[in-house]
Amino acid sequence: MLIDYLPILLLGLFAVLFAGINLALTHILGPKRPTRAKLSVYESGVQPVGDARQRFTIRFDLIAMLFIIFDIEVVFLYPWAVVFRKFSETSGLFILVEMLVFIGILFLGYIYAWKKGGLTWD
Amino acid sequence: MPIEINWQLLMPELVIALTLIIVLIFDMFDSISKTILGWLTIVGAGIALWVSIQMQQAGTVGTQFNDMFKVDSFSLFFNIIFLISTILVALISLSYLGKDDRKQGPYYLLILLATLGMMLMAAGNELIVVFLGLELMSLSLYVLAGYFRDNPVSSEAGMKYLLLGAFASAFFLYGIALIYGGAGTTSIPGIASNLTAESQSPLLLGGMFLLIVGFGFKVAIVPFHQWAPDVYEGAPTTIAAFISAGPKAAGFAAFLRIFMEALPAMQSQWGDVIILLAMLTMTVGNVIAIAQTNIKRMLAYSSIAHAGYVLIGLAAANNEGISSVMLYLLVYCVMNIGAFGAVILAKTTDGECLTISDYAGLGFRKPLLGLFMTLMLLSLAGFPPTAGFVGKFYIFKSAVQAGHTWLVIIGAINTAISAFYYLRVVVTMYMREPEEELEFSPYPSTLVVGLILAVIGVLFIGILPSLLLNSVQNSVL
Amino acid sequence: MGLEYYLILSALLFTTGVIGVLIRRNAIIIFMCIELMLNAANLAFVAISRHLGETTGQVFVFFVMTVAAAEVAIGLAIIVSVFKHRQTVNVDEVNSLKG
Repeated sequence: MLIDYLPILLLGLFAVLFAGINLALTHILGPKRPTRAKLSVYESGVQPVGDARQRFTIRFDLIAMLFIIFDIEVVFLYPWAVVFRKFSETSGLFILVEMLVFIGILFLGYIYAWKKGGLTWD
Repeated sequence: MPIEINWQLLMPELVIALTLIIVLIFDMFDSISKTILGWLTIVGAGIALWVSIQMQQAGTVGTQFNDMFKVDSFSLFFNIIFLISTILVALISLSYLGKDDRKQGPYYLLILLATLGMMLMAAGNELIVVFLGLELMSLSLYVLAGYFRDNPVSSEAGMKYLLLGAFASAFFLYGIALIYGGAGTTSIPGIASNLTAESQSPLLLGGMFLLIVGFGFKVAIVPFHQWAPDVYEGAPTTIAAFISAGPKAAGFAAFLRIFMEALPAMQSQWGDVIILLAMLTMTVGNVIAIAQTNIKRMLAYSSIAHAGYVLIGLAAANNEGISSVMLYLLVYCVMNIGAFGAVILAKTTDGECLTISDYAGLGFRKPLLGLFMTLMLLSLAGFPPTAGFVGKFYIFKSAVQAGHTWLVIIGAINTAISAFYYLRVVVTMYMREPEEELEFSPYPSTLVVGLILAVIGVLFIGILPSLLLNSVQNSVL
Repeated sequence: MGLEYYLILSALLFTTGVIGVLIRRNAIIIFMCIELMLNAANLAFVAISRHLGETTGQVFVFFVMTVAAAEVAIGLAIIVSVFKHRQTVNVDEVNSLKG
């Protein structure tokens, strides 16, 4: 059983060694001429401003919560999509409408959150 | 595979779901006056109640969604309990929420969602459905307990309820997982048929005890009751009434369904545990209630004690036991909401009267309030001719028939203890002079209507129990 | 691999969660421990489902995931509202309700 996984182990070892040796070689061989610009944080060419480790406003938590809720609902679409073909011959329309009702209720919830100001800043 | 849906079977749930969506849509528009949302809730729940009663009388039975959802007299009777609780709570909430429009919409939405969850719990024929119903109910209640966000005490009650409730749900879920492992299925009839065939594995035993722990938290049985007094005290009073009524009935409904239908083969194991929990719950609840000075905390411990009486009926585990539990839960919901309603009625210009000494002299100064409070407390204590007496009588009778005479004796002693603290409030109201003059707010008419309905219910069941008994006895599992 | 290994692992995770809830005092950490307990149950469901060769357990996990997400959203909202009043989420310091 376990011997079957030997190639994966070898591949893993090879990957680690390859990366490690290359990193070590550049570290040893590469010339080092540090300047201020080189040592600064790389942010796509933009001048970095301040420290990244700062507190950000609690208002993000509402967005995060709404994201979690609407994101996780998608999980029900996958099993539905898997069994759809099995049912499509006899009652495809029915389970399509059923899923539309589900999405519709979610959409209603989304509009509710929107109307209640859950998506506005301030 | 063609899919067939019998819409008629789902009527009560569909009505509630539809009301929910209508309330949601109405709440979106600022131009619509939010005061109608409460009335919409009452009308929707009223229609669902009427449909449930019709179906119950007609003896409707059937399953739906691959046997996951079972409609029978049992689930319909519990629907009636939940819907009566919802209507009463909505009635006493109408004046309680005040004029703030932003507060109205989500409140009724969450009450309806919790009601739908309870209905799913009672009708669940599959542990998935029971779990989803339980969570739908609990999640709505966590928010409701912390509904007054500006009030630090309400937020704190919400947090305590959330942490302990989620903890309990995790136990419940793990119990389901172990039962799934032991029985190979999560369908309630499936578990029952698999259990008789094979020997009982330790997985099943473990799962069963975890389920008891999970349920114990949800219905506040000693030793899993610590959250109840804090949550009842901190939550808005209407929500304390709601949490003490419907969800407790729903917890017991699922408890009955799972233990009597799925795990009857293991009764030798759970029977003794239930007896022990019943004794503990009654005694601890009543004894601690004596020491309370805050009326909401006193009612919280009293509701813990009442869960103990219900457990006596469960321990009997026969048809009389089940029907007496169902009758008791109906009675308990009406009188407990009535008692909390009377607390809301005792409102001064500074806020609610919460310490028992505030009630001194109220009986004569506020005769209507005194009358409501006295009737509800007498019913909770179990004096005839109130409904509380009828409920207790049938619970004790079923336990004697099952041979649990000792349990009944302990129950009777506890009833005597409970009479002490209930009557103390009545005595304070009628025999004591008030220490300071309190300014009382005028009675809100909707609250009085709700209380009158509760009084009618308590007296009606108390004087003519036979009308209800037939219907209950036909509703056992 | 036998079913027992998965069940033992899930029991260990569940116990870790229970101990965490009982000894930690930060509401957010307690909440994370509860999530750990839920996921321990999920692991047991999937393992048993695989062992039995049927899908009920896996479908159950989908529902539990959704419920857990809803619980997190509601839980964080409630904990934030407590924090706004008290400036702390230590459950020992949030104790104005006591008999």
